[in-house]
Amino acid sequence: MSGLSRRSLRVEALALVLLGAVMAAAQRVTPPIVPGAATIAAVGFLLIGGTLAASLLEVVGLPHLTGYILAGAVAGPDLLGLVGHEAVADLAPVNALALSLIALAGGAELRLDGLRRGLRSLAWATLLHSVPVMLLTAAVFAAARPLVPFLRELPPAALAGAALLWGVLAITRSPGACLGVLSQTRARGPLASFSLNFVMSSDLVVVVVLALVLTVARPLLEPGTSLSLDAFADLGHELLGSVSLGVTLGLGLVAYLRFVGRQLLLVLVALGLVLTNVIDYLRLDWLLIFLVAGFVVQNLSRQGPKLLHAVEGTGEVVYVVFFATAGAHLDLPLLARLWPAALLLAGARAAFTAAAGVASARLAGDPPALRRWGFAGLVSQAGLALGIAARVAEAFPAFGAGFAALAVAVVAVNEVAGPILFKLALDRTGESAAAEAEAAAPGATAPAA
Amino acid sequence: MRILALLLALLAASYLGGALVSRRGRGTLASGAPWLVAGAIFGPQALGVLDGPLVAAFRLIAAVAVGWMALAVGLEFGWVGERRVRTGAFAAGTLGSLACGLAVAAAVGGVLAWAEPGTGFLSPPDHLVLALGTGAALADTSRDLLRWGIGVAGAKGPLADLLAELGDADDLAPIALAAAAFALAPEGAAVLAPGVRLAAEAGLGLALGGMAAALLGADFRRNTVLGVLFGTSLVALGLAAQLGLSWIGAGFVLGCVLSLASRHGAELRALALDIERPVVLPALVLAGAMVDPLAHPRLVAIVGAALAARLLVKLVQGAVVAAAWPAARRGGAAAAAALAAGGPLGVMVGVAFALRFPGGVGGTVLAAAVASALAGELVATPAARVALRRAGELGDEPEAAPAAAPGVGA
Repeated sequence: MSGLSRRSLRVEALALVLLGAVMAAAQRVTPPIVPGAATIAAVGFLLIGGTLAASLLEVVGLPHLTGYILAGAVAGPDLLGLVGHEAVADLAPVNALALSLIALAGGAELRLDGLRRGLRSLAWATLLHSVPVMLLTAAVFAAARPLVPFLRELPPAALAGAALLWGVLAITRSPGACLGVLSQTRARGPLASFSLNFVMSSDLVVVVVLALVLTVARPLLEPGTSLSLDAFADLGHELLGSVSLGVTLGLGLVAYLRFVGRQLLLVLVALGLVLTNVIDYLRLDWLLIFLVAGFVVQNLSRQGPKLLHAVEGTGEVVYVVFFATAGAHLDLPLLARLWPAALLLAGARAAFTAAAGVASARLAGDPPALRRWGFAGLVSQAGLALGIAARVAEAFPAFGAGFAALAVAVVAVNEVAGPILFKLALDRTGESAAAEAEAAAPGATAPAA
Repeated sequence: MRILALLLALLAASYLGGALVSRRGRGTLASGAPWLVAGAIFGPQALGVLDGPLVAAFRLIAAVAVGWMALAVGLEFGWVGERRVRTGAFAAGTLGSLACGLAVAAAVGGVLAWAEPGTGFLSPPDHLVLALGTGAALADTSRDLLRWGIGVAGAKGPLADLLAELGDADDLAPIALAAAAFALAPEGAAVLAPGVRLAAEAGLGLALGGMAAALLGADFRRNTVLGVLFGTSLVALGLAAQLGLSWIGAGFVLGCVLSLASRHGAELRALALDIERPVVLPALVLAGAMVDPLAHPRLVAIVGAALAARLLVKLVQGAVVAAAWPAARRGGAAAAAALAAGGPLGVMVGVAFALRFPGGVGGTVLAAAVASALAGELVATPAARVALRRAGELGDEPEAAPAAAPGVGA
């Protein structure tokens, strides 16, 4: 968008304001005659608002995702109210569809040869970004007790259990944010490959660590209960079921691509809408299912490029819908109440992630770009973290509501800051298309890393 | 879970069935008939796989499809590919579909007056809405049948051109009749008067179309284009629904303005066609599932009268066209019968009515639209093939044509 003229930017800004005014006026003229009308208009507004906000923010170097989130937050129930609570709730199926397409594309971006080449980096990073980051963030969480009302009431053992659960939450990443920034910047290079491979595979790691921590934390949080391996039974069901279904879906897609190959977007939309609902009933991890399906198509057949092309055909519409809705979902009053604790926890997580990134890159012998910026793509958090928070809230009602509220506040900070940091890293390392073009221009200087 | 798994199977089966039919070259999916039939079979009135609450849950998809269809029809209005429709064909198409819509409305009004003695002809407001709505849903000749004639069968020549032009030029009448029906609906009268509603609808389309043209003039990358097109079409539909305006009028005006005002009109028309299928096909399945034969006690009589009126007017229109264009004469009476092709626009009008006026009025309009699409598939598709062959524009039985996909928007 750097090519856009000032006049174009003014047109976009004016259009955004006018559209918001029209929406607000329509809401005040009359309550909707037809139920759901407000939701339809809200989706439209989020699409236009997110697209235009992304264009405007691109001028100052911010990623598109930030524009989408900002548009959603401003239009959402807590600020302008153009997108109400009911509309945000109604958009859940559309959101799930968007995320399933993102996960499918994410799986299809993972290539076996790339994973093999980066195996050493990935192994060190998985170890250091999981165990030390989890434990250190848990320690900070426990130390933040004076800032967090619900923690003050917990006895020491329960505090330790809650802190461990917080540690698991801290090691979740956002595949959607990673793919969204990579899709916008069209970045190619070690940082882009590492971030993609790590973020996509970390979903699996988090599911395993969560089961382990739930097993350990339950006796701490609920005195009288003994150590139970039930969580591992659930884990086995979830992992095996998800991988099996993902492989089946992937093979089905390969067959479809090979023998029919037409109307692929229609088929993907139908799959996304239907399977996200079916999988909820089965209590499987549908993010993992779509990741595995995409991975199978890419690596067990020659149909990967076709699949990626079909998903790319949606442009950034899926990202706009997903992240603008996430922005509208942000609980700003809650963030205003919990901001000191949220900032502390988000800052500590980012710092530990950066330190783990440096350490793992040194141990793996990674190139300088990864040593310096390897952590940048791992800061964003979104749906997975919120999903774990909801699960904790359900499992431990005594403190779960407060835990989930704090998680929402911290995820909000990471959701906004993460994509900015990742794009900055891709620009600085010269991996983004814009940075590459700049470097190719006459008289350009070398990238920072 | 079983229901949703079966829905998946349904979508896959309907698509694969359609693809097979198309490849064998023995039929077309110009009206989206297989999707409609699949929806009806698996819907709450037959097998019950798609039950009422499930259909209601996917209402947003149907609404998105209605909005996109309105935008696409507006963008392509008056164009056949990259060629403008000739003035004569434009007039014949527009007047023909207007006459057809009004005749259908009159027939429906007649049945209602006969069924409920003592009520005047179209005097109760819901009778008027039902009659105009059915007229709107049955007014046009499907663009897709004629695209089939040119695309899949490889027909080229004056008759194929004329049929394509008539199909693309006749979309104004259904939009106008639907707008009138929505404007006269009693439920929204407390909000805005009918005249104000019509003006507001046009104003909304103009404003959003102007805004979209300005935005796309400033930045015409695929990401921006899709965001702006989907966004404006949904805002048009959502605000129209909120204010009690026609669900398709504002989107149509928006598309027309964009087509005229944007220097990227050709690219936008191509993009609209490209996206139309993935958006509209699932909505056709839902439309089939939403059909309720018990929606109105006189449904069979109303639909029968409407279809008869439609066929009659289309035959008359065909005779007029044959008198004016020698190319049409070469197709014989079959060319006139080909004009009875129904299609996705009519069905989407039906869906808009079913969502806006749930119950007797909406259910009857939707049932009539679906019946017209299916009847058109049985009558108009073979007729078009015969006419084009007679005119020497079709040649031998076609091979499968991978480029021209089956179904809507092809």
